[in-house]
Amino acid sequence: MKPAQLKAELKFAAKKIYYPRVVEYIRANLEPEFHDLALASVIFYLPDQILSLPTKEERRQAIDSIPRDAYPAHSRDMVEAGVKILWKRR
Amino acid sequence: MTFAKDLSTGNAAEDRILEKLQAAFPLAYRMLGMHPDFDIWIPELAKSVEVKLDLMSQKTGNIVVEYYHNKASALTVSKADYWVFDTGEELLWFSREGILDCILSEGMEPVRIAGPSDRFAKWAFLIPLRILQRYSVSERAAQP
Repeated sequence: MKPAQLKAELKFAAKKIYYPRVVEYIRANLEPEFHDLALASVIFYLPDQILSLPTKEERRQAIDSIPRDAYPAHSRDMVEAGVKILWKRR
Repeated sequence: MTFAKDLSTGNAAEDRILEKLQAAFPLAYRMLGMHPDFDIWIPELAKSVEVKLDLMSQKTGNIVVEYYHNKASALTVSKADYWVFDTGEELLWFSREGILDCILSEGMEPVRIAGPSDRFAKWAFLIPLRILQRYSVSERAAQP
């Protein structure tokens, strides 16, 4: 898979916002050999999408939809930290 | 450069950073073997440090922040409180949040890098040194 194609798929996946849907998109649209790479990459695209949600409750729900044992290990922490960083920058 | 030489050069960089840290924190020590969580532990602060040697940054002007190398790696697995990049000319200190702040706030996109000694391509962010410096520990501390 070409990097540009992967990035395009990551952006589509991140637009699903809620983690189970994100994972579902990745599994449905990428070859299995790219699933781990996509999961490791999508955490950098999710914070911006989650921040676009209109309410704090929805943003919290989106973060909480990431399991503590998601792959890679720090996925949830990274996304939460990312949302807070972007929030402060607004 | 071979993997063995890469490893040896990386270890030497970690030793140099450790020596500097031990001047202020004598109990600091380097983790031995393959230790993905962090490279140096500072008991006096209960803080950990990840050391990255990036000599190519002198030529390219970019720092490589790896996050996937056939499996999640570096940024996505390290538990280090601080990251220090040794460019060969200077040491740049960052918190993990500082690096993440740079990637997100600057809209960095991942790239695939295949080094001559790499069996698998790496996925990383190539961050211009002059941009990354704005997110260093000292620069962030100076922000209001």
